Amino acid sequence: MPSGWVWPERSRRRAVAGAMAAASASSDMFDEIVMAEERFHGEGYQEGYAEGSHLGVVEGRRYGSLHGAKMGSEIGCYLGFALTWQCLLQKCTDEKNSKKRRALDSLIGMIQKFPYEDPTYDKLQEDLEKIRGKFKQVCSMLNIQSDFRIGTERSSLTF
Amino acid sequence: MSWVQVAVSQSSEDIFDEDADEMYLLQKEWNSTMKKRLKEGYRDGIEAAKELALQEGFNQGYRHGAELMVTCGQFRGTLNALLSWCHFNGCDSALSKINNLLDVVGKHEEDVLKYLNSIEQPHVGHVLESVQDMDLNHTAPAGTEYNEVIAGKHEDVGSFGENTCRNNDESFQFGCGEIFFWALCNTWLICYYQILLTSHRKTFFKTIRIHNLLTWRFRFLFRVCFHILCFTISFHLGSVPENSSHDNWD
Repeated sequence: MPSGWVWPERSRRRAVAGAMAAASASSDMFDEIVMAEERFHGEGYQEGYAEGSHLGVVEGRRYGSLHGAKMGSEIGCYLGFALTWQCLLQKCTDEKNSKKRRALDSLIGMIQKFPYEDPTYDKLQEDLEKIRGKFKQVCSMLNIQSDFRIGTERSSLTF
Repeated sequence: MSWVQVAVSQSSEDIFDEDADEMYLLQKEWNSTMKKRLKEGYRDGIEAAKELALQEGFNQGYRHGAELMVTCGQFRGTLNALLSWCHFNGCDSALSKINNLLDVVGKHEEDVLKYLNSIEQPHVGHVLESVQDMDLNHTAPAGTEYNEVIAGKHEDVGSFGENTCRNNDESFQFGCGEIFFWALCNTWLICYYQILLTSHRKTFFKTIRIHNLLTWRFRFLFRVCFHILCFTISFHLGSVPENSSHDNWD
């Protein structure tokens, strides 16, 4: 090699920098290809998320409204029953009726305190069972058979 | 050397064809793989969103359903209490009425549950908004009335077709008068061009002393101006009140 043929420093540095840039560019390019699968997955995920949230809300609303309706109907039935009997027994101030009236008052108090329309209430089921028990107690006091089905089927008291 | 070129081009074409096949297959494979990823992502997204959204929707619906049915339930409870009271005190006359009412309430509750169970439940507020947007001022006609209206319209269609040209755009009515004028202008133009193109040209223009102006530019400009003039005159003639054109048509 002739003596003058020494690669100058500047051009060597430039060559190295160029090679590195090329390498990074190619690695970016490969990243793009490798990440393409992730990218497509992510795009599909976004679309599916939007669609799924709408579907979920609709379905959840349907189930929730059914459960809420059943609960509301049951609680409303107990409340109406208790209030009517309270009205009917207002005139009678006998001793034996005072017990009934006290039981009715406590039942009405329980129902009015009960947040029936709040699905996030943690003691929903517990309080509902307490109210049901109290109602059965009141019915037995009033000598009424409370075997009508609590719910939305057509019901009438049987004797 | 031409044979070298041909050989190279042929071989390169072959190679190109192979590459093309391979590339096509690879492309197809790539597309199908990416489509699969897209579908997988879509499914994952739906599942993830549904889990969260179900609870939210449940809470909303629960509140709505409870508020809807509590009054109904209260009415049912009242009727039950009255029924039991009547049984105790022997008021048998009211029993049947109370039982009827209980049946009605029961049926209503069933209907409400059916409505709540339907898949699409628009909120009443949204329905009211959309009805208000429709801006309905009158009720729709009954079935028979609507049919009569349609039958009546069929008779009018014939005459309506005749009138469309007249009624649509007054400015472009070409009655007989306009056509006649247009034909006259074109006849004059044809005669003029005959004179221009034939040997009578020079004698004709010598007499009217515009021989110098017989350049192609002048001829072109003259033609353009003449056409514009004819259009304008026809336009104005056309926009004259309808009576004249009506008479022409009749």
